[in-house]
Amino acid sequence: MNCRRARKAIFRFVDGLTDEKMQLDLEQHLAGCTVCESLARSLARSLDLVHRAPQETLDENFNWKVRLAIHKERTAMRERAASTGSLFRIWNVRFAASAAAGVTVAIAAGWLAVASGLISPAGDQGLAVEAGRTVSRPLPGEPAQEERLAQPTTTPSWQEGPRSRPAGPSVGSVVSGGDHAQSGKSSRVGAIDETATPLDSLIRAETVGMTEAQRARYLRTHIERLQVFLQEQDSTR
Amino acid sequence: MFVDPGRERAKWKDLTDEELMLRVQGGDVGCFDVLVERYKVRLFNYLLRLTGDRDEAEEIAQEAFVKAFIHADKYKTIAKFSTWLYTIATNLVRNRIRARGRAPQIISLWKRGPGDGEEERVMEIADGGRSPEDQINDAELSETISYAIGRIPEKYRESFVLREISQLSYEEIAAVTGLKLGTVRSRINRARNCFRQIVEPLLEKGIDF
Repeated sequence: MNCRRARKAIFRFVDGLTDEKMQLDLEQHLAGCTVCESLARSLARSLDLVHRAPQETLDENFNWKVRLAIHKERTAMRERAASTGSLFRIWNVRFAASAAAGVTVAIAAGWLAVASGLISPAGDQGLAVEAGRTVSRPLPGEPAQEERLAQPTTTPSWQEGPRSRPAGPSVGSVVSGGDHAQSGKSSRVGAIDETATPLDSLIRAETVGMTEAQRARYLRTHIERLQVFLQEQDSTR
Repeated sequence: MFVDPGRERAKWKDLTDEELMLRVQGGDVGCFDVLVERYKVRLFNYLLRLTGDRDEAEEIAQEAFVKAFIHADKYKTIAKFSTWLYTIATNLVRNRIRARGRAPQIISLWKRGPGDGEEERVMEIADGGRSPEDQINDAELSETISYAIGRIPEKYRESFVLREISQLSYEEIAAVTGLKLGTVRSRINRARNCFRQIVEPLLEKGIDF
């Protein structure tokens, strides 16, 4: 056995892990090697010192201290669990209340905005609902709604084409004045205005804001009344 | 029905650690007292040699028992209770060392006198019915051992104290420290050599403990 193996064997011997053969070899080596023998002796003495170390005693109230610490820890754990639960509950109530308040404020603000006309429920597409009918909003540079309604933007079907005037006195003689000059202000309908009669202007002024069906009904009624009027005129003559 | 707590406790003392822990898990809190009684001195001495500070060792021992009780439901009987308890205590020491960011201080029985500038010896000597000479010898021996253990590199100290002070087997030390068996052996042997080198000069001076 060489010194390297002997040192390993010394540590194994200390732990009581050497078999008989190894122990015999070690003893033979130590008998002839003073360095290893000195190492073994000093290791045995130092470890003996540790093993002889007196057992330090604890405070006699240690068991009570442990019980008290356990009690404190358990109480603290219960309190922590309770506080976490109550916090969660409080948070829930607060969250629900603030959410409800937020929704209420949003609804109220929306209603106010619609009521004051700041926004349109139909969206910002140039349309607004007023009194049950859809009208177009003025674009920048366009005249106001009332002006545009007074000015026909398209030629009504009843204005198109050459028309045959009814026989007898002209309507212009019945309705003096007229809006002919006013209607002539519009450059878009300038061509139409040139051929328009006072009756046209009268009808246009009378049927402002009417739908096609309403206008047709209005015209039918007035044509019938006009026919009755002419017949009465003819009969009196 | 009246149950005599003294007789109950005497009955518990016959139970193994693992059986007692099973009872603790079942809600028999009194069984834990028996375990504390069994391990408090061993655990305290292990911690005292490891930390070198009496108060800190007691504090950690207490904390370890509290943790063992609070987490009793996590204990499984496949492991020895002692191993489990030492693991908890070792982890607490490691955490403290890590938190402080330095090695544990070495206990010193020598302190400066308040005004005279001379060294004043401070010793806590337990009155165990022994002669004053024996008590002083014990105190000196204890101090020397604490000093020498404190000089062992921290890496090896844990395994050394578990082996030489707490007398745990290599397998138990491996379980407590989380190291491989071979690493444990090697660390213990290195620590032994280190301890021998520290203590040898004192022994050669003829100091007889």
